[in-house]
Amino acid sequence: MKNRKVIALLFILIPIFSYTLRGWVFYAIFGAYLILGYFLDRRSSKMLKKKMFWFFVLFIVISYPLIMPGKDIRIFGIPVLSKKYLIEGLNIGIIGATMFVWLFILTRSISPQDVASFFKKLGMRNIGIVVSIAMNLLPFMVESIETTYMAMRLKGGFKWSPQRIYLFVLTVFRNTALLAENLTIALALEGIER
Amino acid sequence: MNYRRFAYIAVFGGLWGVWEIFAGFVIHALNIPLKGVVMSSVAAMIMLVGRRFVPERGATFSMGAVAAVLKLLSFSGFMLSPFIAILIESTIAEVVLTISKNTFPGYFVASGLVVMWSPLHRLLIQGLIFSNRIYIFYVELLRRASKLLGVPESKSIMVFVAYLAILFLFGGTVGIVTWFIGKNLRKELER
Repeated sequence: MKNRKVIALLFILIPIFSYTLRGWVFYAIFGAYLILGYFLDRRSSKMLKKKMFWFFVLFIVISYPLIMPGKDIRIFGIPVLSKKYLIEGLNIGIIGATMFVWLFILTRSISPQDVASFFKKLGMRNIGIVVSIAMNLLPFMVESIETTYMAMRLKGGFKWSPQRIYLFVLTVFRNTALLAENLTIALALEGIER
Repeated sequence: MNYRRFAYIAVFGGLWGVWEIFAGFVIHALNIPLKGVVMSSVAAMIMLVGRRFVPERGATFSMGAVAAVLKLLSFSGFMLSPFIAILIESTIAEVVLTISKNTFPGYFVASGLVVMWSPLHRLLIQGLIFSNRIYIFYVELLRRASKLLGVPESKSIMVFVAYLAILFLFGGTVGIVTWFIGKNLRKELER
């Protein structure tokens, strides 16, 4: 997606519109948003074509008047839904569908580099290096947690007693701290640019 | 930034990221009740133990930033809600711990607020997605819950406040446990 600023601006406007607009203007604007989303992004058009997506929207539309009081729509003589809240549910469903489509478009337009530059602006210059180190450590951490768990199981089964959970948590944190200590030494030896 | 701070932020941020990616995926897939509370309790533990080793300003937020970026790069793709949640939780803990100068009450309050944030986060995100109309739905649910509990309708908000207070106390307890875990670990490693 090329024009990220325009997409971000259009995305930010959705909650503002959903809080302020009412009546036919609301339906016109949100309808336009959905049509624009359909033509702007191939994947979001795929999402809009999915039955599951519309079932989800329908679920939101129906569940709202089902819960709310003042039921005046009768099915086989039994009051089931509230007409007033059915319209409100429809509005919520339209807003939700639009937000999901545009959230999808927005998140597809953001790259990890954008996020890294966002943190750089917050004063965290080394975030890229820290994240790359953390990423390389992930398999070690997962393995360490698994080993701790297996060791505790072998030593008489892992029963969920508070004391055993505490021991498990303590061991995981101990291994993590030891890993950090080793990493400190490695960083100092390597002389990584601070 | 010194090497020790650098390493601890990477490792504890990584641990938080592991929790968010793997456990978050499983917990959300199983749709267990109070999943937000479970996620935020463990997150609070990780960031507060990490803070015990790096008691400097900005360390907790940095760990949160690492975890948030790892979550972003995970197989579940860019999920805005957990990304925002991690950043807000780390900001809450950072602010409280900086103000309290990493004291025991600070740990209690920081952890309590982080855990208490989980239902509020859901309300905030749903308010952003579905607009303020969704809150009418929640008010009705609250009214029904208070009716079930035998609380007068005028005091139904108290049910929600009581729920938040319980979460705060639970989170505070997690904070106390974390304080002692961190203390024992530091002693053990310094030996």
